[in-house]
Amino acid sequence: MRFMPWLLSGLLLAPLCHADPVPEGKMKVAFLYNFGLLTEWPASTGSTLRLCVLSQDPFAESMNDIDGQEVNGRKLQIVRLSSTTEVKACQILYLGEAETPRVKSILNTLNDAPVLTVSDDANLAKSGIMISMFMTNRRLVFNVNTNPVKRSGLTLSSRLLRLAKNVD
Amino acid sequence: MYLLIKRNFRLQTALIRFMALITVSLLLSTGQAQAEAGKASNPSNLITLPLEQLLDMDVAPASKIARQITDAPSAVSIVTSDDIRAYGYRTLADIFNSLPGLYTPYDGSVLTMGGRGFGRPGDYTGRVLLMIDGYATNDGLYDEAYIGNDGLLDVELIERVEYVPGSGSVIYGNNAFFGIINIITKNGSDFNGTQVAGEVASHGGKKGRVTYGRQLDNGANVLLSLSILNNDGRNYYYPAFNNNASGQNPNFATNHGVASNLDFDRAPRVFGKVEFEGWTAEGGYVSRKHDNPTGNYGSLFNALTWDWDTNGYLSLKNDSVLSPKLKASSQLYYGYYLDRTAITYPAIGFAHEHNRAQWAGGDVKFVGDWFDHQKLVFGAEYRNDFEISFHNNFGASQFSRTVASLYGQDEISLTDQLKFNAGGRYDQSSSTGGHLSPRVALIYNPFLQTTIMASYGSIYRQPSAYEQFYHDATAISNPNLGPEYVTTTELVVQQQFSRNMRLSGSLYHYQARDLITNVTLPSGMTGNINAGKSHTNGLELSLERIWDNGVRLHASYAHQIAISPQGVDMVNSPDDLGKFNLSFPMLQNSVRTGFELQATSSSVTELRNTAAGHTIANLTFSSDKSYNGFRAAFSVRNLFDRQYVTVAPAYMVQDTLPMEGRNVWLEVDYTFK
Repeated sequence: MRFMPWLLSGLLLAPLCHADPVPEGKMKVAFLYNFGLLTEWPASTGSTLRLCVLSQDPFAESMNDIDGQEVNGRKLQIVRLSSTTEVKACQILYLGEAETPRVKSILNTLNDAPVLTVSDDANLAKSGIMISMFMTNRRLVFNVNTNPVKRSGLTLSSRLLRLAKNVD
Repeated sequence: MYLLIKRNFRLQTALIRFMALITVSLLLSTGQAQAEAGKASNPSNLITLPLEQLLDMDVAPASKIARQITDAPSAVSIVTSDDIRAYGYRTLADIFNSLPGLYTPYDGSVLTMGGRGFGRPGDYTGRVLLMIDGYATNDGLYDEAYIGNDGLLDVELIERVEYVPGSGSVIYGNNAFFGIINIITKNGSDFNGTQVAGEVASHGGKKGRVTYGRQLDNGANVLLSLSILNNDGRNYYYPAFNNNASGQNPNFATNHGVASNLDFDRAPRVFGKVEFEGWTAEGGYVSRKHDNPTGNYGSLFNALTWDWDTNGYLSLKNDSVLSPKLKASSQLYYGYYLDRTAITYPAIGFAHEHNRAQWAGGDVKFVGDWFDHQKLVFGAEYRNDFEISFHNNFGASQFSRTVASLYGQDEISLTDQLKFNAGGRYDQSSSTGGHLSPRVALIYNPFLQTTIMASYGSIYRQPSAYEQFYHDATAISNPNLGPEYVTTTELVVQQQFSRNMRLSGSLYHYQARDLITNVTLPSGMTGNINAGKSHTNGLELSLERIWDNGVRLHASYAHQIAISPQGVDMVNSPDDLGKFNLSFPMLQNSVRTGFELQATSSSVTELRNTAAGHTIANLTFSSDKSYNGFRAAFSVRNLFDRQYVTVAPAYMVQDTLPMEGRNVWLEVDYTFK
């Protein structure tokens, strides 16, 4: 038991977070903003770029920070949706992890409308989500699935496609 | 006696103080985290940066509770590579020991596993299916899963471990009596360089490892790892051998009950994996030789003896998307197992056994998404155990057997909240005939964050080749030996309070029949028959909580009442098991502390004595990040030097075996980029 005091003082020194790296949530919000910059919507789209977030919103604070920013002449507006029926009115739809079970019905509702769908789950790319962000080796990266993009009438810039880790 | 009580009392007081301090530091740290959140850096700086630059910046992953990937309606427990490092786990057994309701007895040479009423010592780890990246590792002779130094994997190569208890494992097949354990290994890109690691531990333990991992320019992900472990071991004292009953010179024959220099351990390992465009080729090898100090099977005590287990496998997998609605995953594999046991018998002297198994097989699994409200999983498997051979001084014999299987599972969404899951598997075995294992489950989500699952299933276990075919001078084989069955009824409630907190509870009832039992026949020979029923009722509770400042907590409690075929408490089945795991960063995130408590209540021995309960604490410090490529981890196991015993198998003179006191371990690794 000789080392107990030493051990206890170690425990009391406990956890303080002064991480240099960017928190994942803030980085994801910055990515979403960039996806907005590097995507072209049909000319009929109005002057507001609605970024919709469904129910559980893990990055609430960071999202508020980009609310009202200008994106290629449009004003970015964060919209928190309470139901999936309104998803067609969005220009960007961000699906958090909690939405995974509902992805299919959400995509059915969208029915190839010009909405950029972005998810948190690399496994969802094949189910028809356009961009999926995921962590690898302490970096945030993203995959692009071009089939649903083409069907929706959106155009992704070649720069965005070049920076993607994988393009399907 | 008084001293003992006093010592116990002091230990308890120390423990209570310790727990109080943990609680205080936990509270402090959460408070600080909330204060920290306010002064977060301004994200508008981030959005002024081009995407190219963002892609190059270090990101601190948001902590979240890992999600299961196994297709099963069960309360799945997950251990990640972060946990393995934080708690200083060195074997698969260390990992499993932290899971709700599981425990890993040590018989002096081999670590086995118990849970949910199964865990009689000497059973080996035959009633759980252990898979590495989808390959079933249980060997073709004993159906044993190797979880100690004889395990196929260095734990540093593990990305995550999923434990699926109960009949949720039905589509995965044979051996999944109390569940399956699915290990997912890391990729080459997770190492991204060459890592060299060295370990030293108590009792002359040493281990070296070299791992190369990289994603090549053509996209291929390559991993190759070699390691070797050496352990001088201890001199065990067994009071049961400290006598002169045999009439021999006690100093020579039993050495006063001390097994001298009979705990030596050596295990080289190889693991390799190449992933390329949906294809994965993978192979593992381990050959572990360990002296056996226990004087088991009537062997001469303190005389030369060893267990030598060699396991290897090769597998080739392909994952492909056949159509937008149909995914397929197929696998071909080859497995090899060699058992070279040596024992010194009083009558015949030094004797060797040489038992070997080889098997090969393939499986194909489909996941179909044709219907909006259904998810179909179906597949087929074939396995040929083409060599099952026994060679010992009583003679040699050779056998083979094949199993062909079909399985399917459909999950139907009846409403947004209610799903019905039905599945089954049919196995046709050349040695035991055809068997159907069905399962039905209802999954109810009254709220987004609440899941209630009720399931009923029946699982069977084919006798191992050893149980069915082995014979020698005192044991006869029973070619008509049939499988054993267990039906499981389980209710699971899971509540995800937030992305950072999950509570899970499970109530189960297991009813086993036709249990394979070793009996003495009128001729005086022993043999295996199907006899006896047992049942287990149990409760498991598990809480996971993660804080954004990096504190991680996992606590579980399991209560089980297991009744043996004789109608009494099952041997080596403790009624209560508690696990407490807490880890947190300190010294400005440079070091992580992992503290672990494992409490086990008393259990009944083979001679119907009581092996006392015990609480073991482990403490680990590990560096979270590398410093110029270096990382280190230091671990104290059995921190309070608790003296405790585990139940000995029936084939030993001892009724209980002493376990390790306080011991330490240090690992340093260096990565070349």
